[in-house]
Amino acid sequence: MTWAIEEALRAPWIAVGWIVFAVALALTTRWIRYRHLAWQANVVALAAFIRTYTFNINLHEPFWPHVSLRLFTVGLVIAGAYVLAKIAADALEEFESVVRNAYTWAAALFVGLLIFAEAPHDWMSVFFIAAGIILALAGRRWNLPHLGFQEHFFAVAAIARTFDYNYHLTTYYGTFSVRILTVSIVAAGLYAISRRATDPDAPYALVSAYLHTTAATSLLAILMWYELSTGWLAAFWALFAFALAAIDRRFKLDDLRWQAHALAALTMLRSVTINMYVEETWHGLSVRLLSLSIVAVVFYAMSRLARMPDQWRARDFHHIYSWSASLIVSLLLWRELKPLSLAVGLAVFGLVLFEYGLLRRIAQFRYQSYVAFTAAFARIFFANLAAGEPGVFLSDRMITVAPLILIFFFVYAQLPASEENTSSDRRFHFDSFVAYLGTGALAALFYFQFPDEWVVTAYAALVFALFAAAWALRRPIFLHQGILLTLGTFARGMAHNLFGGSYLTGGNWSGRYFVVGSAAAILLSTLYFAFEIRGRYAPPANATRWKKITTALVARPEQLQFFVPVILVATMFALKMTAEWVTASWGLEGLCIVLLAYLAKEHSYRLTAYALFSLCTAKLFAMDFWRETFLERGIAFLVVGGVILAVAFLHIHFKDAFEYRR
Amino acid sequence: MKRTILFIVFFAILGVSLAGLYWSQRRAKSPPVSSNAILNMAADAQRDLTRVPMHFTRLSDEQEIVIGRELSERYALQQRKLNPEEEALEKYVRRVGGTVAAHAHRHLAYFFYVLPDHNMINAFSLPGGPVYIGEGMLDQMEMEDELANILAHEVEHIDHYHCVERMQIEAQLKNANLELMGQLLRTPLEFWQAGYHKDEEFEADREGVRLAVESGYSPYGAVTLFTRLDKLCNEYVIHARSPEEELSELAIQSLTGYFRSHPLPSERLEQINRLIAQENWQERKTQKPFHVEYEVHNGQFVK
Repeated sequence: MTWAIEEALRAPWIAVGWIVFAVALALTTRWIRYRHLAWQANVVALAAFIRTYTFNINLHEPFWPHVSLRLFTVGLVIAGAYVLAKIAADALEEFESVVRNAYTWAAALFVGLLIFAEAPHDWMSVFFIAAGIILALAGRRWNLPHLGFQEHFFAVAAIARTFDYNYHLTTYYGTFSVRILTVSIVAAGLYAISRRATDPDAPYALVSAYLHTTAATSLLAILMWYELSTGWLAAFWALFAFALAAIDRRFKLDDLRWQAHALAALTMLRSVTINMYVEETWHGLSVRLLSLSIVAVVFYAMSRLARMPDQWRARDFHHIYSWSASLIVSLLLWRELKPLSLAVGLAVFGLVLFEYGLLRRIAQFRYQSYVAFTAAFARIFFANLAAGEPGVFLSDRMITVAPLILIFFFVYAQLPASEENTSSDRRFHFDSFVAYLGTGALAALFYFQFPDEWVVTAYAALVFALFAAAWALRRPIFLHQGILLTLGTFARGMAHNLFGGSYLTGGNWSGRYFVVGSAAAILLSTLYFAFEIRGRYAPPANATRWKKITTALVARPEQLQFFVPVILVATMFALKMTAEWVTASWGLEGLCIVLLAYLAKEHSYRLTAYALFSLCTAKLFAMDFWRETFLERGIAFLVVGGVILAVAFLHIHFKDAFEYRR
Repeated sequence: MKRTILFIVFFAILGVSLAGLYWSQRRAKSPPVSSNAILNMAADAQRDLTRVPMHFTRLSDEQEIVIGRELSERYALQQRKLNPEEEALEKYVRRVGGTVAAHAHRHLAYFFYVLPDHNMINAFSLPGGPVYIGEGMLDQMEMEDELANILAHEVEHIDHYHCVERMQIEAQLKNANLELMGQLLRTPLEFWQAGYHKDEEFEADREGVRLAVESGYSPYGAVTLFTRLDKLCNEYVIHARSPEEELSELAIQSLTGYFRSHPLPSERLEQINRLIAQENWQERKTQKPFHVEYEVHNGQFVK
C-alpha cells in the first residue's frame, strides 16, 4: 500500500499520502483492536517523516499565491504527526509515552524547520517564540509536559536568532523599527510564557521561569544598548530596573527582583565609567546632567521600592541604592560645578540629605550627609582656601567657606543628646565629628584670611567664642575644642610670632607686642567662662586615675586659660625687650597676676606670681646687678622693688578680704 | 515654635549657601585646583618648628662664606663657558648687583653669576654671597631697575639667613668642620633653585625693594617685572576642566610642590604696592633701560 501510494501520487504529495495512510492504520487499530497495525502505522509515519525531511522541506514551488507547496505539505505532515501522537499512542498503551514523545518531537522538529525555511528572515525569531508559546500552552492545556520541553528549544532558537540577526536590523515596518518590534515581541513572549512553560510542580519550574525572564530582560537591556545613544543608556537601564522592581513588588516575582538588582549594578558601572564623560547635549541641556539625575532619582526611589530578603533589609542593604545615588550626585557635582563651587555644592547636598534623613528617620541618609560634609571640608583645602585676591575680606575664600561653617554647626545643633532618632549618630560620634568640621573649617578660614602675624589673635578670638558656646549651650564639645585651640594658639604664638619673625628688621609692633598682647588678653578674658564651667565636666570621684589625668584640663580649664597667656607674655618680654627692661616687665606682669589672683581668688595664680617675683629677684642679682650703666641696673631694681612693695601692701591690707581656692 | 525657628534657620542657611554657590559659579575666572593650601600649612608648620633650633645653631658669617664659596666653585664646574655676549651680560649683572649688595645688613662676599640657559626664568642664591640669575630671566627684563630689584631680592635671601638656614642644622651637627662637609657640598643645584617659604619670599621681596631703593633704583622695577611674571604664570597655570585633570594636576603638584610654595606673583605685587604707598615712593617712577655694551675682538670679550 505504501508502495502504491508512492506510485500513485506526485513526488511532493507522497509524504502527505504516507502520513494519511499512517493515520488510517492507527484509526483502524482503534476500531478492530489489532495492535500490529499500530506498529505498521508507526513505520509508515517514519517513512513519511524521512521523506518530508529529505524532500519536502527543500521544495520551492508555489501552491497558492501566498502559500508554498512546502508549507502546505509539511504542514499536513505535522498535523498528521500530532494526530498520530494521540491515536497511535492510545493504541499502544504500554509504549504510550515513548510513542507520543516521538511524534510530538518529530512534529516540533518540522515546525522549527518550516519556520526556518518559510518565515521572513526579520520575523523568524517571532515565529519561533510564537511556536514556543503555542506548544507551552498546549502542553499545559492537555497536560503534556514534554511539549513544555519543546517550548524551551523554541525559546532558545528565538533568543539565538535575535542575538544573531535581529539586533543588526536597520529596516522599518511602517514607522516602527523592525529591531524594536521583533526583539520586544520575543522578550514579551518570554515574559508571558515564563510561568507557563513548565508544570508548576516540576522540580525545575523555578529555574525555567528565572531563565525565561532573565533572557527577556537581557534581550531588552541589549536592545536599549543598540537603540539608545551613549548618554541615555544608563538612564533607560535605571528606569527599566525600576520597572522590574515595581512589578516584583506588586506581583512578588523574585526573579525580576534579582534582575533589577543586576541591571542597577550595570547602570551604576556605566554611569561611573561612561556617563560621567559624556559631553553631548539634548536641547541645550547636558545629557550627562539629565541622564545621571534620572539614574540618581531612580536609585533613591529603588532604595525604598526594591524588595530584599528580610534579614538583608534589616541590615540596611537596600541603602546600597541610596549610597550609589549619593555617589553619583557627588561625582556629578564634581563634574558640573566649577572648582570653587564644589565644596559649597557638596555641603548643600549633605544638608539636604541630612534634613531628609532626620525628617524620615533614616540613619543611612544622615550617614551619607556626613560623608558629603567630609568631602566638602577636604575640598576647601584644594580649591577654596588658597583662592581670592589678597587683602579682600569678602573674597572667593570667605564667600565659599562661610556657608560650610554655617551648615556644619546647623547640623550639629540638630543632634541633641536627648533625641532618640539620632542616637545611632551619637553612638558613632558623628555629632562631635560635624562640630569639629565646623570649627576646623573656621580655623582654616582664619588661617588663610588674616595676615600671618594676626592668625594668633584670630585663634584667640575663636577660643573665646568656643568657651562662650560651651558655657551658654552646655555642650562639652566646645570646651574640648576651646582647649585644643588654646594649645594651638600657644604653639602659633611662640613659634611664629615670637621665634618666627625677621632676624634683622622691624615688625615688632604688629608682629609681637600688640598682636601677642591682644591674643593673651583675649585668652585671659575666657577665664570668666572657664570659672563658670569649672568642675562641670569633672570625672566622677570613682573614676580611674588615668581618666582623671586625661580629663584634668576639661575639669579645670581655668588653669590652662591662665598659664598660656602668662607664658606667652613672659616669653615675649624675654625675647623682645631690651636687656634692662626684661626683669622690670616680668615684675609688672607679676603684679598684674597678683591682682588677677585676688580677683579670681585662685591660689595657683598667686603662686605663679610669687614664682615670677623669685625669678626676677634671682635675675636681678645674677645678671642685672652686673650691668655696665647705672640706668641699666637701676631700672630693673626700681621697678621690681616697687612691685614687690605694692604686693606686700596689698597682701597686708587686703589679706582677710580674700579667700583662695585651692 | 522651635520647629518654625528651625525651618527659618534652615532656609536662611540654604539661601546663603545657594547664593554663595551661584556667586562662585558666576565667577569668570576660576582659581586653579592645587594642594597649595596644604603645602603652605605644612611649610609654615615646618618653618615654625625649626625657628627655635635655628636660633641656637647659627653659623658665623665666616663659616657661611666658606660654605658658599665651595658650593659656588663646585657648581661652576657643571656650567659651560660663557660666550662673549654672556660675559658682557654677567659683567653688567655684577655691576648692578654690587650696587645693591653694598646696602645689605651683613657684609658678606656677594658675587653675581649668569647661568647661560634661556629656559631658566629664575634666580637663586647660595649661603655666604653667591647669587645666580638665569638668562631666561634676563630675557624677561626691559629695565635695569627690574634687574636691581631681582638681585636685591636674592641678596636679601642671603642677608636674612634664608639660604644658610637650609643647611645650618646639618652643618652644626657635623661640628662645623668645613673640610669634612663633603656630603653637604654634594647638594644638587636644584635644591637651591627651589623657592623658599612664603614668609621668607615676602620678606625678601619687601627688604629687596628697600635695598633697591636705597641703591638709587625705582621700586617700580619690581612692579613691572612681577606684572610680567604674573602674566606668564597665568599662561602656564593649567586650569583643570575635569576631575581627572584636577587629580593628575594635584599629583604632579604634590610631588614637586612642597618646596615650591612661592606666593603668587599677584600676592607679591600687592605687597610691593602696599610698601610703595606706605613709604611714599610713588614719585620714584623713572627707570633706567636695561643696557649692555661690549666689544669683541677675534671672538674674545674685550670690555
